[in-house]
Amino acid sequence: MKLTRLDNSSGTKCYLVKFRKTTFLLDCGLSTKSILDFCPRRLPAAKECFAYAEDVGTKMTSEAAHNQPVYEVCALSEVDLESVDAILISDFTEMLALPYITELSHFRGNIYATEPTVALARQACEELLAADQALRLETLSTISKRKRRRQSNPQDAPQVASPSTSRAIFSRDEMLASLSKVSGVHYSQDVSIAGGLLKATAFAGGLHLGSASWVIEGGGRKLVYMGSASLVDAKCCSLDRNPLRFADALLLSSVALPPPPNQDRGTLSDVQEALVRKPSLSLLSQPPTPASQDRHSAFKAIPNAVTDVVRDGGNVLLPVGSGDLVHELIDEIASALKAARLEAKPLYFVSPAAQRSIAHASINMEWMTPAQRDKVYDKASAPYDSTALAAEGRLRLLSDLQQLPAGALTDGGCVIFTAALSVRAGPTAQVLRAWGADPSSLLVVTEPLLADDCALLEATNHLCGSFRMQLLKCVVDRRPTPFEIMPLLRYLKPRTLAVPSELWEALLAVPAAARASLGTEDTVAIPPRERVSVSLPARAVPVAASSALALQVQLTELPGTSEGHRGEGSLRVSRVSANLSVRDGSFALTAPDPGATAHFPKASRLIWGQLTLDGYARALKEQNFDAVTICAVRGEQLPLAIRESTEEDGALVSVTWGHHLGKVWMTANATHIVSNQPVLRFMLQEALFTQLHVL
Amino acid sequence: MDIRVLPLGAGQDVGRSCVLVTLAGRTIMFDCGIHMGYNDERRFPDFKYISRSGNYTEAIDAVIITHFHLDHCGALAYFTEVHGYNGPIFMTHPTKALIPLMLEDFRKVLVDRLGENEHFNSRHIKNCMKKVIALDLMETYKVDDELEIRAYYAGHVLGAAMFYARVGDQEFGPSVVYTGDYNMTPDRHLGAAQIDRCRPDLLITESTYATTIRDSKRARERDFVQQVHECIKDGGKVLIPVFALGRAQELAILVEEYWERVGLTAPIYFSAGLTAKANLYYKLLINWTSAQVKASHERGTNMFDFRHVAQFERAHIEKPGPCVLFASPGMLHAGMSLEVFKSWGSGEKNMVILPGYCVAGTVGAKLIAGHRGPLEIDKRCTVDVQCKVRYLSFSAHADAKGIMQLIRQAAPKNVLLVHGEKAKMDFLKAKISSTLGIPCYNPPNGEVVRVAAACAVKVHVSQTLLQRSLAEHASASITTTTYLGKRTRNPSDEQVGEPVDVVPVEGVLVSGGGSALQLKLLDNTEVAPAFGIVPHALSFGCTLRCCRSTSQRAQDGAREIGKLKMEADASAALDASVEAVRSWLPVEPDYEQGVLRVGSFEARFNVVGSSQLAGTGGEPEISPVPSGSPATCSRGDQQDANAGGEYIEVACQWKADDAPMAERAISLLRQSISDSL
Repeated sequence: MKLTRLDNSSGTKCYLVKFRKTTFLLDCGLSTKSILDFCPRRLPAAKECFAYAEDVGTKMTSEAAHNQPVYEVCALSEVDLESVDAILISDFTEMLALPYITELSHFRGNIYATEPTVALARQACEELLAADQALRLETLSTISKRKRRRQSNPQDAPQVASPSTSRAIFSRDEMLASLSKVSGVHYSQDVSIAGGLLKATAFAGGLHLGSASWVIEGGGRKLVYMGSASLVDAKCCSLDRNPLRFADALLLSSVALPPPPNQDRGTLSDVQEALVRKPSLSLLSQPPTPASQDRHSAFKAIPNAVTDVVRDGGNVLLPVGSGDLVHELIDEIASALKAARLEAKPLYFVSPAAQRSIAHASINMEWMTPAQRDKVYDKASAPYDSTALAAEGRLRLLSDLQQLPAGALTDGGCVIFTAALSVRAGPTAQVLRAWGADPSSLLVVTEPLLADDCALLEATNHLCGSFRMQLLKCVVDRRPTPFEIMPLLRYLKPRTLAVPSELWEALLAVPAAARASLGTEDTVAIPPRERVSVSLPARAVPVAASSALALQVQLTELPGTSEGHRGEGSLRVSRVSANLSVRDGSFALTAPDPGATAHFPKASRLIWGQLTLDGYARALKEQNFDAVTICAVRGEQLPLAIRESTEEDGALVSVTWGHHLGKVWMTANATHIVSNQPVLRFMLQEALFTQLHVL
Repeated sequence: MDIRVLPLGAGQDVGRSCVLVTLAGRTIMFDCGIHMGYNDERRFPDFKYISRSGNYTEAIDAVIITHFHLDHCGALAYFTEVHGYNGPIFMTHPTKALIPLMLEDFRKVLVDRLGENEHFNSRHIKNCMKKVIALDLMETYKVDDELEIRAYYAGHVLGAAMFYARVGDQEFGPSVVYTGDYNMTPDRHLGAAQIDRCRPDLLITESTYATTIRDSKRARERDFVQQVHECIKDGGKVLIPVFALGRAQELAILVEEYWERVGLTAPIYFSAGLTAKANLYYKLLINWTSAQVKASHERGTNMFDFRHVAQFERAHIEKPGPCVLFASPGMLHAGMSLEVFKSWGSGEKNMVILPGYCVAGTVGAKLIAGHRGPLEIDKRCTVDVQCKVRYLSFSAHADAKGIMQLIRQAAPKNVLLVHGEKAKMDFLKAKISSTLGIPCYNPPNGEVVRVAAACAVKVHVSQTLLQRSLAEHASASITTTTYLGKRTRNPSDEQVGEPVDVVPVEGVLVSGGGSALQLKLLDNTEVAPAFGIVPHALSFGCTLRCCRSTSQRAQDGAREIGKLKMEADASAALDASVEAVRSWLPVEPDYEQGVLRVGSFEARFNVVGSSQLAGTGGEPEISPVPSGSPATCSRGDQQDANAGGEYIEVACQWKADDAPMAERAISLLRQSISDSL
């Protein structure tokens, strides 16, 4: 099996797999990180921010080679997409590059993703398109200025991302056309790839609604792709472990990496320290904790913080985006507010996908935990409270900020959920502009990408003091840590473990005691943009043999085998000629047609046993050969046919039969029969078979 | 290996569906329903057939419920709680959500309205539902190591599913499909039934409309709304007895749309809280409805938010003015629909529209049969039937065409009919046997049918053998890709030829040894190392001599000329012989520098003149030739050589594996050389 990693380490995933003459892609992520390369025009004191940000080395300085936002797609241009048979998607965050494949290439294969994954991807795409639009408006002028400055200073020129992987955003029509080509699957539903050559099955991954681990089987071998696993108990179906066990190869990419080590020139944490030192601002940042369950419970701090702020008349902005996290947050926050008798305070969900997100969240109980399902079964209520909140009007769904009632931003005690792509543009930036200077308001950051983006805000605050909002940084990353993944791997027992190289380093950093006895025979680290080979064992293929064939077979005890095998109970064998039919990628054996045997070009026989010259001579005499003479022959004088297999000395047996001559050269394990008379050859062979075992 | 089928209900009958199927030692109960037409113990399936001991948990491995209609699930709580079945129960998510509603409603009707003894109580229903494992469509669920089940979309009602069950691995174990009720045409809120070509050994299908072929759905719908509209125009009341779930929602969507379009204001009522509660569930289970309903949900409108529909109250019965009422149950045998009928049935302007099947014996069935005038409903009440009665087949069952279509889709080896009337079943049975050539059964309740299941033997074929077999045949003019089922997508590639999907395989079947019970089919080359055998190599050799006849040489005249002629002839003869072999062989032989090679067979051609022959000192006796050429042995063909002419010598050798091919090749060579000399 050949495994090519098409992504670089920017957090997205994309793998090309060649397995059993089939080519398929696992995930096709799109990195929105490049949004951070663009500069906000209208954020407070933007100019100073750039200067500062450049000093602290965050990436918000423009690396853009284009005048428009570009996104990093995996190295799809290196792949002949026409030859790709299928794409398997593990999570909605990992399929955003799909329009580039389906609409802008010759790809003709099938795409499989779970049904909620497709719906969530649609929402994510809507938000991405809106954010892209907003960014264009906000950034164009600034970019071009910065670009000019960059060009004048060539030794400082940044490393421009490879143009082959940077793409402008797709259109909405392309997105819709692309998503309509995805075949929605259910968990545990088998789909066949390349006409049944492979069978792929999605199992619950646990990271998001509809997240899937894929099990791909063919030729008796099993490949598992864990692209979106989580060990945290959330509201979506939890990780289905058992089907992933005993894989021949396990490709693991769902691990939360530890935060990168400090860089030379000031980092985010420096900014944080600077902020912490500043007494006017309360930073509620959570330090990164090792366990994802802890990180998950840290997430529970959000409702309390929100309630506190709202009680004091402050506003709360939560850029979380559609997805399933927003519903969990709405549920938690609404119930916390209700407990604090603040249910009159308005909740707004501002996103182009808000309506869709709420509608969708109410109908997917099949993809959630038994507890959520019971809510539907027992009370006929939607699995998320957000549905009821929206129906009651407590949660207002707005496609953009213009629909916000007048005064909502200024009245205080308002909670707004927005899309999570950037704090620099769109509704998020507009709300920040309104609330940024208000120290009683709170910004909650859950997205890792936004956490980076917040360096900008912190920089603003540090420099000019114009950004005074409280900041609660609580990155929700439910993927397991390297430490947590070890017991899981021990349970799954893959034969070969394949991981991205940076992840492998993180795994190696885990204390040896926790790493011990993983039970894997082999580990393959895959560097970005590299191809590796994973050797899979040749497995026997289970094939259905028809009963007619089974009745023809007469098993006989295998004589003359080594003692060891005889000890293990009788070994019974039979030579079988059959027809192998191939249907839908699976094989079946049927009895051959009676007349068909003539077409078999081979008459393979297994001959073995202890040959003695005396015995052979006796057998020949019994067949009434006229004269049998035996003489010893030196090794090098033996015929070539024998010398191919052995170098030992042998014997020559000559016979006459009527006026025909026959000669037989023989050694312990080889015999060469020469005669111009076919019948004589046959007789010599039969005499030999009386002395040996023939199968 | 036989599949044993025992219908406990719905055998040559409609109602109390319950079919017991035993596959390779696993027993599955499909459905557990009640009969609406009876009030005695015939209402329930006859569980005594399952096991004499009464330990049903031991006798049954799984209970599968196809959908929430009472004739398919009504006896479930009774079976699990009163008869004590404790094993797993499977159904789809919507069925799990809606069954408690149906059972509770049924229980209330029996106990509260009819004053019967209750067979099970609310607690029983709750406890029963705790044992249920809900499945998603197309999900392959392993009940245990061997038994595997899968649900397919069946249309009919929300969450209705057809179930596939198999014991053992795919292609090996016996398999069965039980359809439950299904509908092959999509309706207002549900899609059409769909199934894979799963080739079960047995397909157990419903046959409610075994002899009917229904007209177009659209016409029926138009007919329905027009009749409703006419009755309303005349100031009449329309009673539509429906089951609370399914038909009610479908017809409500229809009426609602019509009201919207035409601008009617007459009130539409839903009876009781049951339908309202059911609507809540329908709104949450959009994933199980048709593509259109899903699409409109995506656009933000939930089709089950009825704007014109209001809740019906008892006071409305006597209220004057036209109205439309959807009331359960659908067969007018009890409950609100019957109560309303008692009051509206005698009104000439009023109308009863029966949109579905009614079990014989119910008021609904009597109305459909055309009853007019006094009708005794029970001892206390007789209704003088004067209202208009319409029967519109909105029943979401497949018609005869649909049943045949499903059978073709699933491609079963046997068909068994349940859930239908005997006469109709017999008709369909004959049709299935004659047109599809599939054996068909329709046993009555309590009669066991045994169906032979093709039993395949699982053989583990080694990769080496598999690849060699495929590759060997691939080289014989068929490309490997066509074997491997990789269908060409490019139209131009289709000329490669029909995909050939049968190849001969020759191997050694091994049983026992280290892993007992596993049958392995190995390649010849694998057997020896696997069992510690040192194979004995066997090879053969021979020499052909073909000479020109004496008369031919005489014609050639002078010796020198003859020699030249001989050489030309010889090369022609060689070419001819090689061609002869080539045309016969399935694979292209390798021929160069006077050596022909096919597999292990090797033939060296040599033209020997008489002068050379003289030089070697007469007749070459058998001698082991130490160099590359094979040992020769000539005596049988030497007469011609002794005559002193020129001859062609072909030294052959081959291994035992290629013996049949070699023998044939040699005779061909001999033939063609002597022909051309």
